[in-house]
Amino acid sequence: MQRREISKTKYLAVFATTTLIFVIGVFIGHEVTIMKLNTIDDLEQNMKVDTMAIELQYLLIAEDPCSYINATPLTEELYGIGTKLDYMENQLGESNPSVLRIKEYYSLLEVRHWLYMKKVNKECNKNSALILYFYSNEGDCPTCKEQGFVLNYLHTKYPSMNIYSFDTNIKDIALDTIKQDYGIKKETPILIINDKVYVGFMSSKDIEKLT
Amino acid sequence: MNFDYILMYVVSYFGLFTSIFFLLTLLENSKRLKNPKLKTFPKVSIIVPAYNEEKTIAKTVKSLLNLNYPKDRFEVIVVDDGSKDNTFKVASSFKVKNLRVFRKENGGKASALNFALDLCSGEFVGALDADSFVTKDALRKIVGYFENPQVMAVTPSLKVYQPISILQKIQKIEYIFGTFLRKIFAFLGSIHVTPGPFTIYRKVFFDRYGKYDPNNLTEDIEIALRIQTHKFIIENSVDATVYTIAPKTFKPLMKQRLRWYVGFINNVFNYKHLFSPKYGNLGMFVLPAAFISAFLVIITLFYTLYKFTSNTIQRITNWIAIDFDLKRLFKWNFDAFFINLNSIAILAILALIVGIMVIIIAKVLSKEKSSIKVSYIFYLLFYWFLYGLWWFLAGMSKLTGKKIYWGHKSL
Repeated sequence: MQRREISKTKYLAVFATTTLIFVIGVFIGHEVTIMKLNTIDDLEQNMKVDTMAIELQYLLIAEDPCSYINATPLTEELYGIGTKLDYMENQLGESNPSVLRIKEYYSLLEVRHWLYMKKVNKECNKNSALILYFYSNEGDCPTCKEQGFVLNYLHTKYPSMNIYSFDTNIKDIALDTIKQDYGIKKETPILIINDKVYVGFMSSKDIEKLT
Repeated sequence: MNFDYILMYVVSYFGLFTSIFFLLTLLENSKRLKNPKLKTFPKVSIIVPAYNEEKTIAKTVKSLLNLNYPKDRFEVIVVDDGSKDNTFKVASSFKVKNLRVFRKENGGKASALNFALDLCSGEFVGALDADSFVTKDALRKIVGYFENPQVMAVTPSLKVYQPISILQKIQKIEYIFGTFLRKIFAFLGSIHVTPGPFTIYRKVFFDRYGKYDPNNLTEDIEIALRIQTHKFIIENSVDATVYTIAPKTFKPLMKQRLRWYVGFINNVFNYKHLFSPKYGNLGMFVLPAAFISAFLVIITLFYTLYKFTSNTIQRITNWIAIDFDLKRLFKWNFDAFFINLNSIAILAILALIVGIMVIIIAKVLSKEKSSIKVSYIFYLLFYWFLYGLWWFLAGMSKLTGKKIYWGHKSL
């Protein structure tokens, strides 16, 4: 018969090594995530500056500002940030405080861009489609993911179509004002297409007909 | 924290812990990898239990007769376990002194082995399934280990014979990985399966502690656990190679695995006293880890299936909503931002690196010459899926009491 011994030192050494590698792995992942959140933060700051610049450009060019207007780069900038924000939301979860903070700021940038585009549409006789989309990701909107996908697709198909997505659960004075103006309640998804409110899911064809 | 994260953290920690434990074990025993020198040639009896194996038995017997071991120091005993084909005729066609062929009524593999144990004249006894073939020097490499009187069994290293189908190729890598594990378990005193193909035993063990259990689904697990219960040693010769024919298609593979896994569960329950510090690494780490890994892999399997199904449904619903105008969606815009490097991804990369390390070491240990091919990637990425499936089906079969079959005899 052979005595069966367990080397406690060996198990402890393995435990320590595994924990160390594990913690390093988690730490690196955490740092990369923070880096990415900071990237979005920076992009938002850049966007803020760019928005101000284009607004000022409009005011400064006294004579026929409409012929100078090119909002496409700014729209793409906004869309780029939105895509990155979506990605981080998927990674970290919708209730992550950093995601929520960035999203709140992003919503304000969207409102500002929307107001600017409205003004350009009105004063320059342009006809860019403006869509406001209110969603909820708190589990009370089963078709919101699908609606988001459809809107993404439409933006790819029609780059001039401006889509502004808002989390209906974000508490913000500007957003609350828009909701109040359009008489929006809790139910989602809600689309405001050319100032008309539509409640419930809409396919790409339904939206294309209205724009 | 959501369930994905918790599950992945637990799985990766467990995987890392066991891998590091095994690699450290290999490192501290690296000087014990060589087989002990053979000083004498004790007599060995090899039993070949066969049931309807007319296609492969000739090759099996030939490989045994070709062993570079003195002919008068080993004998081959073929037991035809009531085959309905020409197994007996084929086996009897060999006219050599050290081969005897018997025929008996069908009773299952263990009964065939027990039948032959009474006829053996060797100090050591082993079996070779009739679908397996030994390499020339396998016996020489094994017998040296019996210099230590505490050693009651020595296991060989198994390889898949001429893999053709993708499933066989995946099994080939699984067997290479098994070679690594068996050697590690030998170092830990924790071998709990003495494979049917060519494990050699000290015959006195059967005389003292009884023969094979004919009512057991996996007699090779039962005998190993019995040896462990009596605290004897089971060794492994990592380069004593035995080739075995692996199931080619899914159905026979599933049948084989169900038998193995249900057999494992049954035997471990029967030998539950082994879960004790008295049995060292076997009781405190190796056996519990087998069950923990089974539990984790089943949860991961079902969670992955659930995620995959719900994502697929979501995707199809999305595509319907855009009238399947998919060409617009596949725009390739590279942005490093979208490379997933969160904690889970980093841990998955680490696990993959450790997995590749283990496969390379296992390949070197088993002296496998073929190069690393696509099947290795398949193995690393998808094998766990099959592993989870076997465990789940075995668990279900155990819970529902559904019968498992070996040969034509149900147990």
